[in-house]
Amino acid sequence: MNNNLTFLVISGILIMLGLMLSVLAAVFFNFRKKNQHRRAIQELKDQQQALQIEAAVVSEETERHRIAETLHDEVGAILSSAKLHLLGIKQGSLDEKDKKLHEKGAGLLNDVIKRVRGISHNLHSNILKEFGFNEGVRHFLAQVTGGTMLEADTVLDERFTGAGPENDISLYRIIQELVNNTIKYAAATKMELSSRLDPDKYTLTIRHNGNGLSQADFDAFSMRKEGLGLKNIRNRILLLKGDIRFEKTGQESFIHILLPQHVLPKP
Amino acid sequence: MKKTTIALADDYSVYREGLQVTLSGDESLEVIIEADNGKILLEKMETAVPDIVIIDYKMPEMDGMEATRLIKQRYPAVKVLVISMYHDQKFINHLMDNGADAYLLKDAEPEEILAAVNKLRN
Repeated sequence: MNNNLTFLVISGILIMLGLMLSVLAAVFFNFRKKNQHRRAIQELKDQQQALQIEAAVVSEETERHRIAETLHDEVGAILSSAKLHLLGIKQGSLDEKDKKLHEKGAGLLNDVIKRVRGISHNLHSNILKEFGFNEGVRHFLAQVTGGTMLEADTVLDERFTGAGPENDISLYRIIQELVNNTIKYAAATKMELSSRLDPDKYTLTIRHNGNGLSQADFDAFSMRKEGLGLKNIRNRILLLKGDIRFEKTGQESFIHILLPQHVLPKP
Repeated sequence: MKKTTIALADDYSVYREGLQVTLSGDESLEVIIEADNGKILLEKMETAVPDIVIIDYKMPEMDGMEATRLIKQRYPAVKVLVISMYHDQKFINHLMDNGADAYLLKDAEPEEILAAVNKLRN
């Protein structure tokens, strides 16, 4: 009788344990399945976000190109022709007052021609396509710092020949935005743009002696609606699957842009 | 005195008009050809060969680089002055490698254009 009772109790416990294990297993598998599902959804969301960013970047580039080309070729030709027409007026036929007006008009035309050319080059640089990434960066830096108090230097790794036309443009836009911001807000007097190609990554560093951003500043500003420039940088970095690091040490500020191996040219 | 003949090639007729104004300041110069691109220029040069070609770099159908190369191949005596909005040194070197004799920016002063033309015809 006692034996039977013991047997029943043990059987009951075993059945209960079995049931509990089954329930636990069911909960575990369900949890794993849900997690897999959640991960799949997240991956899809990430892919969709990457596609949206890519589409935005591509349409921005197309628009920039169109405006730059119109300004450079069409407006540029009209302005240059206006100048040749204006300067075609014989000075001898003018009185002193008209001579002064003529001179003033020609001076203003020269200014606007230079401004239009500058805007057009900033919007879209052919130099990147024609002469490669490093030359494009050097050219941009010389243009943008010429006539300012900022002393700029480049130490670029010549082994880096670009990361493909679209990636190069993204990287170039990031540099443009960062350098322009430094000129506008950081009050720097010295800047160095250097790069280094390693087998597994490419690092581009902007170093300056101004009041630069910290990582926390960048993370906060780039999420704000009005921080369009920094948001663009963040989007392009996402598109490149790269990384951007802001660092401040003593009197100097550093911005490191890191590109992963998959966008680097094959050796 | 025989006039120096000139061909103008630029897809923007408004700029060709500007060049005409500048060149009209020197009576010894005569524009005999106007063309919208390199292809039309070469077609027109089959009937009249100018002494100097003033050509834009960026044009549809055939740009100034290719046209310069072909002009120098077919008419080595013709001088080519490229006028462009591009001013990068490497770009200019590339033009010179293709046979261009001189280069000026599109926003050059009228005196610079006339001086370049004078240098080429001497």
